[in-house]
Amino acid sequence: MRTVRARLESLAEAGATGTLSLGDDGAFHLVDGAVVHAETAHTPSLRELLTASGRLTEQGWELLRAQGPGHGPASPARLGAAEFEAHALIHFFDAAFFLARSGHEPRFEDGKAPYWPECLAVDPVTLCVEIRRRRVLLDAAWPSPLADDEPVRPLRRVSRQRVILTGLQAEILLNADGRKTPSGLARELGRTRFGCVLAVRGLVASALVRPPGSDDGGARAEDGAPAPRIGGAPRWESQPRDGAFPAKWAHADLELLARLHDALRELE
Amino acid sequence: MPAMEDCLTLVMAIPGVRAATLLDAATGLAVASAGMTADEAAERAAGAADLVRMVLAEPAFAAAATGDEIEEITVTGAAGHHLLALVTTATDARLCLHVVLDRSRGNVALARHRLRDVLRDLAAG
Repeated sequence: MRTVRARLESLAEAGATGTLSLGDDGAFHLVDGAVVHAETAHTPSLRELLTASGRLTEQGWELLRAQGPGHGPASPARLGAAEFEAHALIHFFDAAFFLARSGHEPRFEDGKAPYWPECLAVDPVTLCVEIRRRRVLLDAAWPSPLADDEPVRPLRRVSRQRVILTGLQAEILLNADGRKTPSGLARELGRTRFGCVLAVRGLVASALVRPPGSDDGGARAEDGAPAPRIGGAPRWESQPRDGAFPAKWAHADLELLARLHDALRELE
Repeated sequence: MPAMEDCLTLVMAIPGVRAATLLDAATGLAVASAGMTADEAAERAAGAADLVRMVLAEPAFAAAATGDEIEEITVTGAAGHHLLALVTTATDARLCLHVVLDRSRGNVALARHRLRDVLRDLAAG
């Protein structure tokens, strides 16, 4: 994060135009020092956000690409101009958040970057403040990144009288099959990856999904991945199985490791 | 963001409106603002998003037994009103328009009526 931020800030001062690539993670595109596009395969694309969520049909998306957003009020078949801009910005910050975590050495290439949409220009300082704020939000929900990229495995039984979920958390529980990660669910539902990761951290905090790293002891497909279960909730045995860990090894304290990981990240 | 600025210009033209921010209540991101600096807008957006999240998570604020879609949150102080109008969109953009209305110059009923027109530009349905 620090190297990416430093590069973006120096490029902003120089008023640079071009592409800051981060290996195969993606790239930031800049025009006159402002970031105009964040390109990455790690988050749902604007097309996925709009079509998977049901906001636009595939034809609606093609129309949008060909003619641009409509003028005047939004309609079910067509995105209004203001609505389009809001979604472009939301997609941009989602992509930028995960792109900034890249471990690749940033490499800058001068030149006019081809980009679309053409309505964004974000100051790198604003971008870094927003990324930092989002990281704080995640940590406030649950201070461990372990669940972020793991398959979401809902519990089969809940031992509380009632639970309160956000709409997104309910969607995640309804669509989780023990195999899909927050990122995969985001694509399928047309949601932002950040939104899904935040929702999953909330679910981990309220103990509605199995904590990451725990062995579920359930059925596994031949390829070693947990077998999908329609309707969520992989079954698991409440009794720890004998010999799951060699006796001489203590169980790793996942929470401690996660805190250590976060602390090291902050030092970066 | 030209179209978004047009939207906010319409909001600022409502009598008594001092400031307006369009934010994504799902993340607390200030999408666009008018009547204040970008830093102020970012700070207020984060606070407003916290309030929206809290109200949505609280079943006591539902007006129907089956749960209720929250459309608007109003906070009234001696000097002015804060109107938080929620726009439900298909994606998880939980857009919210936060408007600060002067108590002596503004009229809540009129402002709410005019806001609904502006919000129609932001989402279908």
